[in-house]
Amino acid sequence: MRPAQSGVRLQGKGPLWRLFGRVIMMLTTLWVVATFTFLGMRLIPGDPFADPKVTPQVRENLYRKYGLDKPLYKQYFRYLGNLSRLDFGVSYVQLGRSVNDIIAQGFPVSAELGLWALLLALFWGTLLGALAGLYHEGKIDRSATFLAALGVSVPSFILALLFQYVFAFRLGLFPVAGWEGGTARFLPALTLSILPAATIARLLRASILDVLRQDYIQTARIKGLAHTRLLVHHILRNAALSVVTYLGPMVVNITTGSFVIETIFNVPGLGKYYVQSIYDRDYTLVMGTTVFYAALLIVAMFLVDIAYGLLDPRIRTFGAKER
Amino acid sequence: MAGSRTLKASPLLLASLLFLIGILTLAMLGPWLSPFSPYEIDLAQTNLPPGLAHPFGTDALGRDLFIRAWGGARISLFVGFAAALIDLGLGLMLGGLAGYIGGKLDTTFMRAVEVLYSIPYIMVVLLLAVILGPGVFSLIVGMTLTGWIPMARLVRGEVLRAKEEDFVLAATAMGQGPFRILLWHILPNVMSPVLVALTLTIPQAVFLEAFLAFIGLGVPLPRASLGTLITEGARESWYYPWQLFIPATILCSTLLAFNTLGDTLRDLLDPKRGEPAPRPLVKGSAEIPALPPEKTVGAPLLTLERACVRFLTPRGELPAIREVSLTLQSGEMLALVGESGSGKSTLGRSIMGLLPKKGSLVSGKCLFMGQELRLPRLGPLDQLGKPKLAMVFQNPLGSLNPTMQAGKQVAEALVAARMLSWAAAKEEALHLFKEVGIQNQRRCFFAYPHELSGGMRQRVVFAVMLALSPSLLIADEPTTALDVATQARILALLTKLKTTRGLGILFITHNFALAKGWADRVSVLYAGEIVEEGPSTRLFQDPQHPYTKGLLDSIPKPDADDPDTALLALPGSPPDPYTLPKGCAFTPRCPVARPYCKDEPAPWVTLQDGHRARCFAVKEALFL
Ligand code: SF4
Repeated sequence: MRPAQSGVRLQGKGPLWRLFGRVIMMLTTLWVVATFTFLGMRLIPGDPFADPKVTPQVRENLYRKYGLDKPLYKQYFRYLGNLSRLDFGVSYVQLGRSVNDIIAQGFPVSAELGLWALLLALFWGTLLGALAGLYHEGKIDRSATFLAALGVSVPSFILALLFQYVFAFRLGLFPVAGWEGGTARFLPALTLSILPAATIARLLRASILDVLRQDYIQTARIKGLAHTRLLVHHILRNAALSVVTYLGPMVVNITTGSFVIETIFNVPGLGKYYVQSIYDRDYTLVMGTTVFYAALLIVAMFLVDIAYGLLDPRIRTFGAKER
Repeated sequence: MAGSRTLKASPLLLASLLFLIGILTLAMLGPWLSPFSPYEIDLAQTNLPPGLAHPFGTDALGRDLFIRAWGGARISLFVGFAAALIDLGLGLMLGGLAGYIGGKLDTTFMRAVEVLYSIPYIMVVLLLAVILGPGVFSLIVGMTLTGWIPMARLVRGEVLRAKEEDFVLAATAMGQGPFRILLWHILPNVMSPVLVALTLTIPQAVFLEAFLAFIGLGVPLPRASLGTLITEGARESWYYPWQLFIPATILCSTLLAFNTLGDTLRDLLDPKRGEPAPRPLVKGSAEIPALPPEKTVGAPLLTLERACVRFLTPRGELPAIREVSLTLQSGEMLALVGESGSGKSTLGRSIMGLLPKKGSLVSGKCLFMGQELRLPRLGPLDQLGKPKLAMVFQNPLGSLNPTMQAGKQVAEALVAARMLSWAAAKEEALHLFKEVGIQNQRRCFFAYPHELSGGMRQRVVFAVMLALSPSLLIADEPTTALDVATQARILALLTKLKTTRGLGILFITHNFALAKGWADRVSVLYAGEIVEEGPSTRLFQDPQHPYTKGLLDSIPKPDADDPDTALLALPGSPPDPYTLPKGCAFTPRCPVARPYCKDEPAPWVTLQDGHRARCFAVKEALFL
């Protein structure tokens, strides 16, 4: 499987040049997202202050306050200027709160939840995938493969509702919702980890089977290496490469998964505010959060590419692959 | 029929296909299966559990959930199919054009795709759903806006590859227009990966719609997709769990069936599928007991007696090696020559115990230094303190671990085989590098395999094998992947090792000229049987078997040293291993075949100096 490369290829240049190209590329992508978001929000029919209770005088004041009376291009440049100062503006609906505030409050919670989910996913996914690959065509393989197929087929919000119903409501093992104490973190993190865990398991299994076909495994076996050395340095080390390529999309999966998980489990994270802002049509909040998420994901992809370059000696970092 | 055989071979494929057909039928026929209407509110019948009148129960407004569920399935599937088909259309068109036209257009295309692709997909969909407002149309637009990109990339890659295929080049040469070629020659050949991708795109779109429905951006009311039903059911799921779990089960099982279908299709269409499955890693040790040294004196290094290898394949039993007997002495190079498919590589791998454990049947005797090896052996080869076998494969890049420095791969073998410390192993590895003719040993030690040249890589592989202090080296086409000059140098190295280390070498090749130039003795393999063997000087001066004769005639004399023209090339094609005749397998291609050759096993005829051939014609010529 090819890594999720998104780098500009500047052949024949040094790594610094490639890094530079890559950063330019990331900024371009962000700019496209920001512009698209801005235009999209302005194209929407309707008006955030269309409430009939708002008098024309008040509405005019609000317009002036938020700069909505200026021509579109002025608003656009103002918006870009604010963005470049990392100022995402103020919420239209939660009056008096800035988007930065909301992000600063919600993001740490989301990040923690994501981190737990990530660790769980890596653990379960690697375990299942490795067992299935190494014992392939046996009972272990078939059960692990089925579990993994199930994992990618059950949407996380259904899992969340199921877990909530069974473990919290019926069995009372965990709190139904909230974010207080360790036990409350368990169900959301578990739910969020299922899809990435299943994907990791499937990738790792396929990749182990592929590695086992290679002659270098035969060479390693001829050497008479100890079991663990063969497994860790020759099989898993090479098979893990394809899993690393998935880490980028995995961050995306966990992030988007957290939108609904946080809503269902009432976790005060950014995802919950994001979904709320969509319900409320709170345009600045939608805009700000979208750009924030986009930046986050783009940076995550970049880090994954670098990690891939470090792990696979055949790859030159920043996305250029040797042919 | 290939199709029906495929279905029979994979019960999973059949099951998921049947299941999906069932779901589709129910989704289509849903409205006629129930007397109720999906929108009919009946406040006297709210929140009924599943029962006779309402198989799936009713919801908070008393609507029949059976009809709503299948109606919902229809909407969900419609969104899934529509989005996937549009992705497919756009992907085929844009990816196909970019790949086919290539050049500037392709570069521009790939750049644009890179920018678009690094925009998080889900953000685009969400934003579009917010902007356009909920609706089937905006859903599909949102999904396909960037959804076509993976498909286009896939198609482009496949088209780039197909463009180089001979029949496409031929069609181009015959002056067919680009669209005709794209449509008639290239597309059919890229269809199978595209089909798999399509099967996996549909559930993704269904999944996404359900996700959007859950955050309030799905199909607008009063229409209800499965996602909508799940969202509605979730509200009261603690008290009326069926309202949630029935639509959820339909959705999940449909997604599971699609994913299973895609997975099994991918496995079936996988070009690598014909290869033997890799051996599972099960613990177990090789059965080579240590030998008392006196027993080994005088015995040949390697003896095969009536060795047979058969593979169990879907087409039946495949006899790969049929009663092969041979001997190899220390300090001798025996060339095993044969066309591809003659079983020569299988023979090498079976001596090493590297055959797939499942589906290989092995019989006969294999004596190594006078002592029996069990074939095939289980598990990783545990060679510690045991008589040593080593093997070199055709592709040196493939035989080295890509993520480990070359020197470490040698040192690791030394640590395992000779129990050296890592520091001592490093010193010894540098010595071995010198022995196999590597100039800059220190640089090579820290280099990764991809940084070395082909010849250098093969030398590293030799160093790895020498680290085991082997007595027997099996070299399976060790020079085929290399250029001519390197080829000669590697073979000179092998000859040197043969003398300095007293190494017995089994040199497996399809190249007669190389066997003639370098081997001490030659065995000619045809359809898994040895048909002629002898000292290479005798065999090449006076070939006896019609197969050997034909091969030697087909080597163009003036440049017999150029290996590319000295490949085995003989009129006719190698025999089908599943339908071998009882007698001589060469009968259909033999210019001097007798009427009885087909049915009776040919006799061995011994000439001088251990030169023997197995053929009726040879026998008759000798006694006439
Ligand atoms: S045995 Fe018969 S068919 Fe076979 S090579 Fe000899 S003459 Fe030809």
